Amino acid sequence: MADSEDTVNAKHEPIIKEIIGLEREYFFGKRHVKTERQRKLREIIERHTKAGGAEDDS
Amino acid sequence: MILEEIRLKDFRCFHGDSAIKFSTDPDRNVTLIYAENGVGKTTLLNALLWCFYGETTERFEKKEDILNYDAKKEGRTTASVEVLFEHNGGDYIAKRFFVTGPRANTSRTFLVARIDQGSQVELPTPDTFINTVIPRDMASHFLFDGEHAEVFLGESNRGSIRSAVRDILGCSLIETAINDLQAVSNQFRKQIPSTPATTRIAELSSRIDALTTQIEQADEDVKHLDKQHALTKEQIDDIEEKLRNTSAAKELQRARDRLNEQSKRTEKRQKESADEVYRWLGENGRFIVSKKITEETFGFLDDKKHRGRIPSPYNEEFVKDILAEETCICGAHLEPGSRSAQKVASLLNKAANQVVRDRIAKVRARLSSLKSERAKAPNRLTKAKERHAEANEEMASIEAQLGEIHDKLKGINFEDIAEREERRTELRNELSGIDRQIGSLKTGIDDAEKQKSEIDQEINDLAQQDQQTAIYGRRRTLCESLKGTLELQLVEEEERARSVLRAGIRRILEATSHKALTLRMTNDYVISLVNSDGMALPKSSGENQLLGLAFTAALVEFAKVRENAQDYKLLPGTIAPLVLDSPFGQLDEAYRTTTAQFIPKMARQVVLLLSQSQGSQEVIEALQDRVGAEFLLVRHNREPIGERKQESRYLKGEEFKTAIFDSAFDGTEVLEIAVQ
Repeated sequence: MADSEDTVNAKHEPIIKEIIGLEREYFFGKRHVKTERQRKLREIIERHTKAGGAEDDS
Repeated sequence: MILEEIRLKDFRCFHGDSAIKFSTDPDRNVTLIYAENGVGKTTLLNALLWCFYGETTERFEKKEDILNYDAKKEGRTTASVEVLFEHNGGDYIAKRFFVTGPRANTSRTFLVARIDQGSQVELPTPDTFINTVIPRDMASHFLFDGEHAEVFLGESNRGSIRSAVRDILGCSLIETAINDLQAVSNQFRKQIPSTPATTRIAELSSRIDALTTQIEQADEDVKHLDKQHALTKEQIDDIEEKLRNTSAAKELQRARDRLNEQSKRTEKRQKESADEVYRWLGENGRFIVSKKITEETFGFLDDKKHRGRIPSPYNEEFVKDILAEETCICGAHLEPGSRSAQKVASLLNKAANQVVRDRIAKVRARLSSLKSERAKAPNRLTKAKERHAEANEEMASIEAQLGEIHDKLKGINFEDIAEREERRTELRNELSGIDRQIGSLKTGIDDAEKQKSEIDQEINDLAQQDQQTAIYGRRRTLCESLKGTLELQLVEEEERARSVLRAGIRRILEATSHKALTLRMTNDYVISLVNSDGMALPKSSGENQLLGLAFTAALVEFAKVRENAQDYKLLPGTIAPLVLDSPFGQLDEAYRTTTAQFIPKMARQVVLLLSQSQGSQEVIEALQDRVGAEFLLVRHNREPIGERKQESRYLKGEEFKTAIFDSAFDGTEVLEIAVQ
């Protein structure tokens, strides 16, 4: 169980890094700009789930 | 950050220009500011918060009235607060303006400049810079409103404690990411195209929207009711305070206070003994229900009919050995297949092997243990039941005594006592009603959340089955999975933070409290004080305040430890000045002295706002060697003194008037007291 959790964490690490980077940018730069921040987050998710096999999803 | 100076211009009660230069000396790191109630202690604390973030504390009244009333009457249109500070070796000035009149919409409201060889170099992103120095979420924990510490650590305020821990831990990025992932997942759900195959998805989706609205509404209602609860509770406390201070009601109210404390303890004992009965049933219920089966099994094993069978007088291994040796125990030859050999072989039908013998032995041992445990078991139950009955009886007696006090108070027909008592009863009934409503709303929210999550799962399963919608299902699954990972990480970080804070608070309590008290902070942030036997103690107001202070000190310490934290998901901590407004309010004199000795050690720089009653001789003496700057806030009044008594205060052997009458303005003046 712990192993599979670790695997999921490791698999998600790059995308989480990207998301936290985005949150950090807005936290310090545009603190209350929510819509734009969420649009950029959508783009990250879309990029990581291209049409095709689910195995590509980060 | 080290505060150097604050400059106020027509800000709230501060009329004209006022300034305070804080002590920056590390050995004399305390700046003392004396002020009576209503003169500007809390305003000063809020001036710092307003200058840095444009916000004030929750309880700051009439937030929108920034410009001083007299200044407005005199035709001035701008109020401002400037704070000079040092950060990482650089000197800075932050300025915030409040402008009314025709320039209101065009004026700049906030700027931060670096002071470089006397000139000011403006920073391009002042908000970002301030948030790097002290993140907004952490700031309110450095600007400590002691008067409300008790409420902060009150039992119904676990949410605030959790937020405080998360704020200092720097969880803002993870928390916003979790909320954003939820929002984006909802957007993907709404985007799922409508096809004949997805009609069901559309139905479920609108059901989710309805549930979401329902939950949001219920959340709003709970928030509103929580406020109403706090307000009603405050009104009850006010009435009780008045009764305590009314000579005719004083004794009765004191007796009621004692009974209420006793009632809390008894209620706790009631719950503990009831829990003990349930625990007993969980652990020992089998001994009771096993009575019949034990007796029957023993009966069966001992029954003559079964004697010789269980366990058998013959041993399977022994019979097999005889057959293999082909020799009977009498020495006769046993020809395989002969009648004699068949007769010996037939013994195998009754013979027991090692496994059966072991099982029988175990059954007997287990049954014997059940029998003896059953004999012992009722003692514990009986004791728990006795304790429960005693607690019930005590509760009934407390209720009766409280009822009598209520009747007596209602019967006192002067000094508004009866009226107040009547109102108190009404308010208590209202409070119970509010609590019931909150309870029912929360149950509704839990149910709706559960339904939502089930429907959401069904939508995702359906979306995965249809080619056109599968991509949305996958995107949503990814959002949920990322959200789950972040939530788990947050829980782990929180657990680590909790153990650091627990250790910090314990150390602080050891240094300040004269009782052998230990802190207990559960994973869901219930904070209690326990004695050496691990028994939770009811907290007095003073202890609550001390605990609030210890909690703040531990947060400040934790933020300092985390100053150079490298985790990319968490914001680093910070070294910030600690501004304490009325930290000694409910503490008795002995606590005040030990706390005063401890306060200078709480942070690199401490600003202490004290009223006369808080700044007793003992407190000042305990702080003496650590004070680097002292100020007095003086109240100016246009009105003549009339019948009032002149208020003054002796500081450094000199008399200072704390209120001036027949003054040119209504407002507060800052007076510096020379430090000896």
